[in-house]
Amino acid sequence: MSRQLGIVSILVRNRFGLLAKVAGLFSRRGYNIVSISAGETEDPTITRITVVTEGDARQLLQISLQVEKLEDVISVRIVPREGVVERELCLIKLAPDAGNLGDLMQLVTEFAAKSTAVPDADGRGDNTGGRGGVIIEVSGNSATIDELVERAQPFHIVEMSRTGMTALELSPVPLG
Amino acid sequence: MQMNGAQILIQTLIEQGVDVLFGYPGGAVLNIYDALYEKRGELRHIVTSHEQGAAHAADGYARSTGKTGVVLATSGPGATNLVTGIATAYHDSVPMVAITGNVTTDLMGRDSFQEVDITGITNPVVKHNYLVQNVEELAGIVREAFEIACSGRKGPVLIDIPKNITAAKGEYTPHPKVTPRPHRQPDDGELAAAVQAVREAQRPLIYAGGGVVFSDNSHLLREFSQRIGAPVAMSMMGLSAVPADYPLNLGMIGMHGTATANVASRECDLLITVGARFSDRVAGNRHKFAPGAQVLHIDIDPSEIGKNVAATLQVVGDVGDILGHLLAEVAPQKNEEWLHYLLRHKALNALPMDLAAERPEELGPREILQKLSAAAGEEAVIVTDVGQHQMFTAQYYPFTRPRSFLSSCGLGTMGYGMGAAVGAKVGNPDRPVALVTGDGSFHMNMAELAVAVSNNLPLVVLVMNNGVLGMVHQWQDLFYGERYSYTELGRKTDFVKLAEAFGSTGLRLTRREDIAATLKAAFACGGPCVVDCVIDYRERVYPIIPPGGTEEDMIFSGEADFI
Repeated sequence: MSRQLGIVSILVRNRFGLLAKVAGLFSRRGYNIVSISAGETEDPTITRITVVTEGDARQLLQISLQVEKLEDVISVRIVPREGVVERELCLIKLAPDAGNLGDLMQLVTEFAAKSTAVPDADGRGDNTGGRGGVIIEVSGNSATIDELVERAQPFHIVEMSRTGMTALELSPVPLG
Repeated sequence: MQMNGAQILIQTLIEQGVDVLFGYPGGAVLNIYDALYEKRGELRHIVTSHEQGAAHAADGYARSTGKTGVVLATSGPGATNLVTGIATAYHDSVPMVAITGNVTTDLMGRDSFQEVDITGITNPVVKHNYLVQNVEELAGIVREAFEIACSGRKGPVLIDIPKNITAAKGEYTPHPKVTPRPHRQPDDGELAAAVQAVREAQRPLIYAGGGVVFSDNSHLLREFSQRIGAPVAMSMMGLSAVPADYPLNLGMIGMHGTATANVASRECDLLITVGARFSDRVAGNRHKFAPGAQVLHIDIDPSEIGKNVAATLQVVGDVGDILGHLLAEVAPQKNEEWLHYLLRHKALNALPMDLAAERPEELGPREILQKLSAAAGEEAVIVTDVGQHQMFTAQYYPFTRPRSFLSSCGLGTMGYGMGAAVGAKVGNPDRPVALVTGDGSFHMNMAELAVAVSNNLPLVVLVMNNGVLGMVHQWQDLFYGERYSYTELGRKTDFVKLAEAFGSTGLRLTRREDIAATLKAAFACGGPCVVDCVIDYRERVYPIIPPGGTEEDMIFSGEADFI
C-alpha cells in the first residue's frame, strides 16, 4: 500500500526557537516528516514552513489542529493536491564518464535543468586527484525530481541535496 | 521608571496580582532574589526543599485557588528540577508561569557552569516558552505568559531570563492585570446538532472531565444533568464536578472506575463528553469505547476532538457557554427506565470493602478515607500522590465541592503530593488541607515537610504505609504471575520519628478503633502532622479494567485466599 502524503503550509512569527517547536511537535506526536522547508515570506517577520507528512484526512486534520495551538503559529493549512504549485529544488553532483557527456546534456535540456561545472580535486582538469564533473539543478514537483534522480544514475551521482517541498495555492487569497 | 530587569520582573509579577512565588535561590537568579528582598512586604516567597517541590506547590496553589501559580528557579539543575512539575501541570492543564534564570548571554551555548537549554528541554511540556533576549521585552513577555497560561485550555508557560538581562536597566511602565483571551464562540450549527442529539437521546450519559471542574462550571453541569435526566460519570480530573451524594453521580469512569459508570458507557446511546479527553485510563480500548453511542464532544481545545475517540458531534468552546446554551434549548427529560436501570445497578455493585473489614483488629485504607472526610470537613482540600492510595481516594472520598481534589492524574507523578499540599495550604490558609500518600510516593519528596514546618502550615499527611509499591505490586500480582520484582522495598523508615525530626508531629495509626480519634488529633495539633497508617500490603484496587481492555474485561476482586 502506498503511503498517503499531505502538505501542511504553516505561517509563523519568526521568533527564537520556532522551527524547533514546530519540528518537535511533529516528532513527539508521532507524525512523520517527509520533508520540511522554511524561509521568509513577503513580510520578513513571518516565516512559511512547508511540511510534507504522512496521514489520511483525519490524521492531517489532527496534525493541523495541534500545530495551530503553538503560540507563534499564525495559520495552518492542509494544502489541497489540486490547484497548487508545489516545487522542490534538487542539486545533483555527477561525475559522468567522458563518453556519455552528450547523454547528460540531453537529460539537462529535457528537464530544463541548469548545470555548473565541478573542477577535479587538484583543479587541473585532468582528473588525477579526484574526478570533476557537473552539478545539475532542477526544480519541479517531487515526481519530476524522483524521475530525474532515477535517470541521472548512469552518470554516477557523487552527492545530492533536495530542499523539500514548498508550495503556494493557485488562489488569489493568501494564507493567513 | 528606570529599573533593572530583576526589578522589572518582580514589579510585573506584583502588577499581575501575584501574591506568592514558590522557588529556590541560586547564582543565576541572584539579581531576582535581590529584587525580591526589596519587595518582601508585597510578594511572599516560599522557599522549598527542592525545585520540583516548588513547581508542584505552584501547581497545588493554582488548582486549589484558580489563580495562576508562579515558580522561580535558577539555571541548570534548578531549571531541570522544575521539569517534572511543569510536565505534571501540562498534562492536567494547570495554569502556571515558571521563571528560570540562565547564564549571561555571552556564556550561552558554551556549556557554561549551570547552563542548560531549558526552553529546548521544556518544549514538549509547555503551552509556550520564552528565552528573553533583551530587557526591553521582559515586562511584555511576563504579561503575555500570564495571558497564555490562563486562556483557553490552561497550562504552563516558561520564561528563561539570562542573568545579564536581570541586571540591565530598562524602562518599566505599569500595566493592568491581563485577562484571559476571549473564548471562541461555539458554532451555531454544532450547537443545533448537539441540542437535537440531546433531545433525541434515550440513554444519555455525561462523561465529565477536568474542563468542567477547573473552568468553574460544575454547577451548570449538575443542572444540565438534572434537566436532561443524564447520569454523570467522571474522569479522575473530573471528580468533584458533581457532589458524592448527587443521586445521578455514577462515580469515576475507566480503569479503576465504578462498574456502573463503565456499564453506562457501554450501554448509553449518547455520550456527552464535557471537558475530557478520553485518556487511555478512561478509554482503555479507544476503538471500542461507548460502542453503541453517538459521541458528542464538548471541549475548548479543538485538537482534542477526534484525537483519541472519534466524535460524531462536536462543539468547540467554553464549557460554560455551551452548557448555558444547551440548558436554554433543552426541555426537561426524565429517561426513567435508563436511570432506574443504572441506579439499581449502582446499588447492587458497590465498591469493595477493605480486607480488614473481616478482621476488626486491622486497619484498611478505605475506612480511613471515609473517616477522613468526617474529620477534615466539607471545606477540605484533599491532595494525593500516585498509586493505590490515590485510587482509593478517588473511589471512596466523598468529594462535595469543586477544586477539593488535587492529584497528578495525567502524568501520574509520584512525589507530587507533598509540594502540592504546601501550595494548596498557602493558597487556602483557612481550609483544612490533607495529603493522602503512600510510603513509596512520600519517600520521593518528603523533604517538603520541612517547608510546611518552617512556614507553619498545618497540613495533615496520611501515609498509607504498606511497605510495598502497592500499585506496581498489584500489577505484578495480576499480570506478571506474582513475580514481585523490586516492589517490596523493606524500608526501615520510622515515619513518626521522621516527622518529629522535621519538627512536625508524628502519629501512628494501627487499629481501626483509633481512626477517628487519631484523625481528630492530627487536625487539632495546630501544625503539620504525619500519620503513619499501617495497612495490609495485600489490599488491591478493584475494580480494574486491564490496560487496553473494555468494560467487559473488568476484574472485580482477587483471590483472597489468605482470609
